[in-house]
Amino acid sequence: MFKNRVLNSALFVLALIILGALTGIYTSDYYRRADPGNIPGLLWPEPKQLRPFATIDQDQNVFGLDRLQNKWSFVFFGYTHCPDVCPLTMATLDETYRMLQQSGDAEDVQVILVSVDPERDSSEVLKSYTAYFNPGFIGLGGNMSQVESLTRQIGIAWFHHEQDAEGNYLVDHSASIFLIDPQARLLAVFGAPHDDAEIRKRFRDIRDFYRDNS
Amino acid sequence: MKPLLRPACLAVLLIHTLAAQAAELLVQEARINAAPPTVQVLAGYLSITNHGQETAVINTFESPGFERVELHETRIEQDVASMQRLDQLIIGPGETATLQPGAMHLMFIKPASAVRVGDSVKLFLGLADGSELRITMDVSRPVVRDDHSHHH
Repeated sequence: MFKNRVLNSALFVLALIILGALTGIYTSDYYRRADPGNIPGLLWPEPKQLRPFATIDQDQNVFGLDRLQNKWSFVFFGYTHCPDVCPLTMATLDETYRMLQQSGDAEDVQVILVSVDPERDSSEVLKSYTAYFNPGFIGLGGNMSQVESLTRQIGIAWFHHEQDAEGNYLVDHSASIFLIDPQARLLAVFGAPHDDAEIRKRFRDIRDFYRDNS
Repeated sequence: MKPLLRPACLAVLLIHTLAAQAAELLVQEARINAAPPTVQVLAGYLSITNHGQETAVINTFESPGFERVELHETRIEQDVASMQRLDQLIIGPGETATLQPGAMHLMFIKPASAVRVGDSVKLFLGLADGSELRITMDVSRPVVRDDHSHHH
C-alpha cells in the first residue's frame, strides 16, 4: 500500500518533468519559428531609431519622443476630410485594439493618427475624430513643421492637391500602418489593404521576436 | 374631361419612358459611413446591377441633404492612397458596379445638418437617357471589412 503510493507519486513527478520538458521544446520551437524572415513588414536587423520631434496632441499637449518610450505604437497618417481610406483604417485599428485588449495584450499599446492636413485638423477636430473610433486613440497635429518633424523621420509620402473654388482639397498619403517599438524605433510597416486579424498576429510575432532580441 | 385627361396620359407616358432605364437597375447594400459632426465629407457605398438590355450611364449624383455628391475612386499605388474623381458610372447589361471601401465610392460633401447613425439619406442618380433612380441610404458606423461569407 505504502509502496504503491510512493510509486504513484514518483510517476506523477516524472510525468510533470516530461510535460515540462515537452513544453520547453514546444516553446523554443515556437520562438525559432518567429524568426524575422517569417514576419512580413518587420524592419530587421535595422529598425529606424527615431529622434526627438514635437507634435501637438488632441488635448493640445506637446507630444514628443518621450511619449513613444516604453509603449508599442500603431501609427497611421491620414486626415479627417478623407472619407474612404481613413475611416476604414481607423475602424480596423479600433477592431485590432479592442481584440488585443480582450486577450490582455493592449496594456502597453497606443494607437496614433497623425494628420497630414494639420491646417484643417485642429486639436479639437482631431479629438472628436479619434474619439469617434476609440476614446483611447491619440490624434497628432500642430503646425506643418511640427508634423513634418515626425513624418520626415518615418519617410512617409503625402501630397496636397490644389484647392477648388470653395477651398476644398484632397491629400494623397501613405496607406500603411507603422509599428514603433518601446525603444522608439520604427520596427515594422504593415501595407494596405489592412486586415485586423493579420495585424494582431504579426504584432504578437514581432513582440515575441523583440523580447528575444532586446 | 377629355382635354384634361390627354395631358395626364401624356405625362404618365412620359414618366414611364423616362423611368425605363432607371427601372432596370437594382441597388443593394446602400450605406453611408457615419462620422463625427466635424467631418464635412462622408463616403457612401452601394452595388448597382443593370438588369436591362442596354448599357446604363449614370452621370449625375444628387442628395437633398448635401451640397453635392461626387463619384470617386481610391487608388493605392506604392503605398500612397489617392482619390480620383470620376464623371460617370457605366454599367453594362447584366453587370454589377460595386462601390466599396478602398475602391469606387460616393462622396457626400457638406451636409446641411449633422448626419447620425440610423439616419436615412436620399440619393438621386441621373441617367444619360434622362431617367432618374431615387434611393434611400442608411447611415451606419464604418465597418472593418465586407463579410462576403453571408448570403442574402
